[in-house]
Amino acid sequence: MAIWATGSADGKELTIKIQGRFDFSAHQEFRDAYEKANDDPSHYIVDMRETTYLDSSALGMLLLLRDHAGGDNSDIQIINCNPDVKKILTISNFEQLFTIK
Amino acid sequence: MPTSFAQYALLIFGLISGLLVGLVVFRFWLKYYSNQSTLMIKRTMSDTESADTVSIGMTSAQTNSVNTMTAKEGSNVTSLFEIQANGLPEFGIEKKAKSNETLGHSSSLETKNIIKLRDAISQKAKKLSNAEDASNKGDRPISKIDDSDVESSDVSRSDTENSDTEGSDADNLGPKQNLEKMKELIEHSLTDLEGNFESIHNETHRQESLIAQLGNSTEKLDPINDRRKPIAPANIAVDKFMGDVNHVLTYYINLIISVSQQSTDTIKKIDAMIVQMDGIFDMVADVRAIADQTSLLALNAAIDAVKSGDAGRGFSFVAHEVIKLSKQSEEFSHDIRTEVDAAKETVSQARDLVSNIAENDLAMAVNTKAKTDKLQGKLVELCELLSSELASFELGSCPDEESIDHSDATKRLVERSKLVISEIKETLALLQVKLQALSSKDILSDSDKLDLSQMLLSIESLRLAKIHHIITISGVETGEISLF
Repeated sequence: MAIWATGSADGKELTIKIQGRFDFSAHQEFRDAYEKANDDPSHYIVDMRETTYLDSSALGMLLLLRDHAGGDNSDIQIINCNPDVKKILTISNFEQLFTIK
Repeated sequence: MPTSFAQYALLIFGLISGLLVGLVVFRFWLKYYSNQSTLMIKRTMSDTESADTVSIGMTSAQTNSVNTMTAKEGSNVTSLFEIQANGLPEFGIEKKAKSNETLGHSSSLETKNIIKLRDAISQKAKKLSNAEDASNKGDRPISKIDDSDVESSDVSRSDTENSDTEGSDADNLGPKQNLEKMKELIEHSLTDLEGNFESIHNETHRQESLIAQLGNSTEKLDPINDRRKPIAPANIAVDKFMGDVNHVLTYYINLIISVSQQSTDTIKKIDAMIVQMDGIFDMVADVRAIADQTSLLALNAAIDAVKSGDAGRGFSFVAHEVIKLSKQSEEFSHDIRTEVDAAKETVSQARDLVSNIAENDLAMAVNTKAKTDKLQGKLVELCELLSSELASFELGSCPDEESIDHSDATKRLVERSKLVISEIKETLALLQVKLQALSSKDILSDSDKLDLSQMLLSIESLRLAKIHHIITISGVETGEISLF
């Protein structure tokens, strides 16, 4: 499990890349990825290309990110989900809260 | 399932058409018997002249054969009723289909019997017409009656009496009794037929109501997912059940996620608290350092006080007190550290517990969701199949109204045949009285003979007119029957 956060050049966009299992053990790292960003980005991208597993705490962390990014006014994209991950996001109705690609 | 539904419709149709054939045959039969009664009147006339009792014997034999046929048919009708009665309490569609299969089978049997009956009747009719031809050949024209002598009239009278006495016997029935028997037979058969129609009608009605009930329950489920109409409580609430399952599942998933979110948030707070506790440790360490320093300073002061001799005695006391205080403060800071350590341990345990709450495998929820989706798809498929079957079945049950018409027609037929037969009976009675009165005269004059023949002709024409009238009425009211 590893998490990388990369800010765009203008500091408006923050990409968080999650590798391996995205579960409770990642919570500190994930929180740090967005709380300790130098800039205050308006747009977030969560890249799950290499994410193999999600549990409920991962969904909770995504919701905390959403709260951090402004709740209903947030702009968060979850991209490159594998079918299993997408299934979990779908049955949790996350499609109504996030932009899933 | 679909084949049994199709068979079902086909069998009902077959049954109705079989009974229609039966109706037609009965019409034939009635007509035939009216013709036959004409024959009998003629024959009664010829009896008076040529003592021809063969036709009566034939008629009684024929009546017997018709009787057995009707008995056969009657047993068929009874079995039909039994089958229907057995079928009644069953609500399972398959069972009903089965009972209808047997129903159709017995109806085809019945149709076969009716065809047999018709053949037998036509054979008898041929025989009778042959006999009539033969008797006509033997007949003397009415104009030649005047040539007949007293003897022939005596013979005719004795024959009439003979036929009367024979009619009272059980073996050889007279025309009147024959007619009575025929009337009974026709009445009986028509009542059976009517009963059949009524039971078919009732059965079809019951099925229709059942279909309507089923239709109501399936219509409520929209084939497109998640678009549900309001649900009636009495129906099979498949859609309600699916809705509840989905609702519960969504609620459950949302609850898990919400708990996870809150737990993660709580962990964040606990982590912050642990950081704060570490701050307390730092402070306690500072307090400890100050106490150590104070203790060292107090020790130096005590040494200096001892060097000063008596003048420093009081100062030495103070220095010792300060050392004591610094020791106490060090103990105190140590206690604080121990307590805070314990608190930190408890908090980290709480953190583990909360993290356990936060971590929930969603695989089970995903599997459950997949299963319920599959179930819902199957139910929707089933409902669609059922609706299409119901639609086709409703088309199949259309001939029902036709059968009601036939049932009414049968009722009318029964009434009219009763009327006709009673009229024929009356006419025959009148005829017999007249003939007896005639034969009681010692000498038959020409005018008497003419009077007799005219009277017979007028009676016959009257009767024919009646029958014609009846057939015309029933022909107008039921289009199918007017063809015959």
